[in-house]
Amino acid sequence: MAAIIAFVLFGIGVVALVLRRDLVIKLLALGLINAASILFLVSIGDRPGARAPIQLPGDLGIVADPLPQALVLSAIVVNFAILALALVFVMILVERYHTTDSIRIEQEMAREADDQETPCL
Amino acid sequence: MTRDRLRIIFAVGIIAAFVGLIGITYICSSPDPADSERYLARAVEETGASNRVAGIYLNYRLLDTLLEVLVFSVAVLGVRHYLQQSEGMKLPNLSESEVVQTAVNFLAPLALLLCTFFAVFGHISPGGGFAAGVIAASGLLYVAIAHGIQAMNAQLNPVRLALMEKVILLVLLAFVLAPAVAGRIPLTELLPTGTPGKLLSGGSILVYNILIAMKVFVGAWAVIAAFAQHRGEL
Amino acid sequence: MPLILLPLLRFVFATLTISFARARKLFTILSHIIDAALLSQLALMLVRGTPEMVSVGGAPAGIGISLIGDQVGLTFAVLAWVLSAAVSAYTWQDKLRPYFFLLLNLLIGSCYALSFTTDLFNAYLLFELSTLASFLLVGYQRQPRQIWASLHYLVLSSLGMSIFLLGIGVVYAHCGCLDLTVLKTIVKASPGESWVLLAGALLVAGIAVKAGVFVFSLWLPAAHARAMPAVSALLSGLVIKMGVVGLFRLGDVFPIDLTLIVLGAITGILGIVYALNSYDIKRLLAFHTLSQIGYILIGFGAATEAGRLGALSYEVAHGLFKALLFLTIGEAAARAGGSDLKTLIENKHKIPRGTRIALIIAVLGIIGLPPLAGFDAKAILEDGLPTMFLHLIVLLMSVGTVVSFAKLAPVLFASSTHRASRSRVLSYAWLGGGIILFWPLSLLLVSPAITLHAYSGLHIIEALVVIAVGGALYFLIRKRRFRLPSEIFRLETSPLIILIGFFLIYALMILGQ
Repeated sequence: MAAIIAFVLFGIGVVALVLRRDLVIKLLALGLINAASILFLVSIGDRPGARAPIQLPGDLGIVADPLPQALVLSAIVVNFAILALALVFVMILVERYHTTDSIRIEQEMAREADDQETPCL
Repeated sequence: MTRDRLRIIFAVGIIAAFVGLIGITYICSSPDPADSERYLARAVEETGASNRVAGIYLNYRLLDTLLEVLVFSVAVLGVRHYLQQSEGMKLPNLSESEVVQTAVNFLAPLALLLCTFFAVFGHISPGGGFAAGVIAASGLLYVAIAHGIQAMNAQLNPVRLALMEKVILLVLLAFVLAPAVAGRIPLTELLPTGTPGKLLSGGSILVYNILIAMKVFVGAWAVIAAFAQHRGEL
Repeated sequence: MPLILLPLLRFVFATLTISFARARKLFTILSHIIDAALLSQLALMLVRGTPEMVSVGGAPAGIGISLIGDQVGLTFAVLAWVLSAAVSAYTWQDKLRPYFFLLLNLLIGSCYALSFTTDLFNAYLLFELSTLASFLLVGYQRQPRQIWASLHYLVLSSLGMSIFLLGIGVVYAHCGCLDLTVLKTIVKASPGESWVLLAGALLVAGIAVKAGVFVFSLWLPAAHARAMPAVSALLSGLVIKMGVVGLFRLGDVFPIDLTLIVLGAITGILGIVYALNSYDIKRLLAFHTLSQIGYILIGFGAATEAGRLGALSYEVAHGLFKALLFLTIGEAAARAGGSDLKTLIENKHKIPRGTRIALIIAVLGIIGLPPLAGFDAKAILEDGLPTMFLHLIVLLMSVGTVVSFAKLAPVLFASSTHRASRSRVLSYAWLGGGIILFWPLSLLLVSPAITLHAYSGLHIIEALVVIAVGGALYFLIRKRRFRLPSEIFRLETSPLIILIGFFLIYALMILGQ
């Protein structure tokens, strides 16, 4: 059940990534896509009636699978890092072009391409 | 129909087909969670940590956690590199009313206390280094909101924080490489395992949790401070 | 032990570089010497027949993370070492902040680890680390075009890695294990199941975004063209190959042979078509990267021994001459004042002599002149192709390569008024020597029997004919320019094209099982 929700969220994220022009919305959509794949991973470890995978003294109930939760820890930190840096880059672009509209930024860059392109190192 | 309408329908159609294909194939292939029993079987005795998740990501899959810490460090350094060079806006030092300041003076030490608890007890109860670091950084964030970012930067020297980050990373790498000196493969356990459920169990999981908590704390604060500095206010 | 020490020591050097910035040059030399020692130890183990296999953390195989020092992994790791040395020499005198070298060392360290890892989630994290490091390196100079290119790279890479993560989820849900060696036995036991196809398609689609396959890597032309020359050289020569090594390892487990061949053919032909149309030389080189990956994928998908060895040799050869091309064109563009063809031709006398000679060697390498690197690897690869149709596609790609590089001819032959700095000449000599001496060096990888068979007269005549035909074709189509769809490279449409590519891969896997 959670797996289906995860796939639907993934789809909504990709729709937002493709159809919305605002760069910040695109980054939010990327965050949603990442969250959806993380939800899918966690949902795999679920068993009916399970509780947290910590061994308490004297308790022998059904326990959820700990591996997807460990994987997801790393995935969350990595996705946070990517979003933070993408946000910094969007900030730099916005300071330069004064708009968050991705199509307008591409048009501005195409217009500037006719001018001298500074050679790199 | 206009071209835009057509484009939207085309895009939504492809994405819906993608989601549908994956969803239906996955559900129809009847995933059987009982297959994945390995990690439950002997995790507690082998790692000595009664929190099985901590046992996995700080013992069996320690390399993954090391990479994750490196990713985090790169992110912090990257944010600092880019925002350091831009001209920040110079706004006056804003701080909040006395009610907020008094409340924060009570809440922030509580946050730091929670951070210590989660870091030190990460192998026995839910928590762990990452959550602890984020909690502590949030506590500092409250103080920064209440007293103004300029006051915070006067108290916490950014240069010393940067140095502390590098030192923590070096200590972590040294700890991870230490078994190599003793002739064993790096990333294996050095400290004794102990009985699960006690504080001094789980080998070096305790040390890793504390190191990671400090690293995430300093790093998250550096990111917040960089953004706030660039903008001129919080 | 050397397997795990290689990336770990590189990470240690990365951290030391940013802590003690003044000793950077000492650390660079030290790290390369240590890496050479570790790599030779691994090679010795491999030759003796006992490749090193390490389960990091001492856990039993299948629970911990396993690293394996086999032939595939060692080849890619040696390529990483060679390119790391070349780029370090190239940037020896440049005024770059310690942060740049931190990113460089982290990138190399993650490439070492990616060459050896057999665990899926470990590969995911290493791909993300290398993505972060490369995207920060592309945007290092903070020019808006570079920032845009690296943002595009980041968005597509993140989408691809999320798809990869979905694949990891499907694998774990059915197997309870993430290790590729254990997966191999499980998949072999029940080959036709639907989850195998789904997981394989998701994993391949995710890695293809990073591996330089045309439909998926639409960020590549912009990112590799606009980055600094040293960064472009490393990205095109090395980081792309990390996606390829991922595909190689998946190819051992999932039935993706037909998929690899079709993807290789598509990216080979489309890369050449777009390259013919580019007159900005760095963009041309980036399209060629896309195209040459086609050779490697076709060779590996052919599933014969000669094909596999040819693919391995070609990826080393391509790493060498593509890196040399980017480094030399980068310096030439810096001296001439622009990287488009017109500027380069107008100011061709400003290009230093050492750079020009290195550029000639690199171009001869990529067009496949015997006995340089490109011819060598291509010959072994062509020996391994089972059908005439594949042979025809590879020939077509080779002719296209010659045609698009022929436009550089006026730049190559002129007199120089400048000299290049010594450290740059050293890095050119390091790579150029590898290209020229490729045949004797490759005897370490490929047995003499296969190489001598590949050096038959037929292949030599074929290579020379290809060069002649390509040159003639260039003179015929020199004045024509044709319009190609360039909207696919925009941020709006590229995620959709990745999803369409996923359907293609899924269909190919069903067909090819």
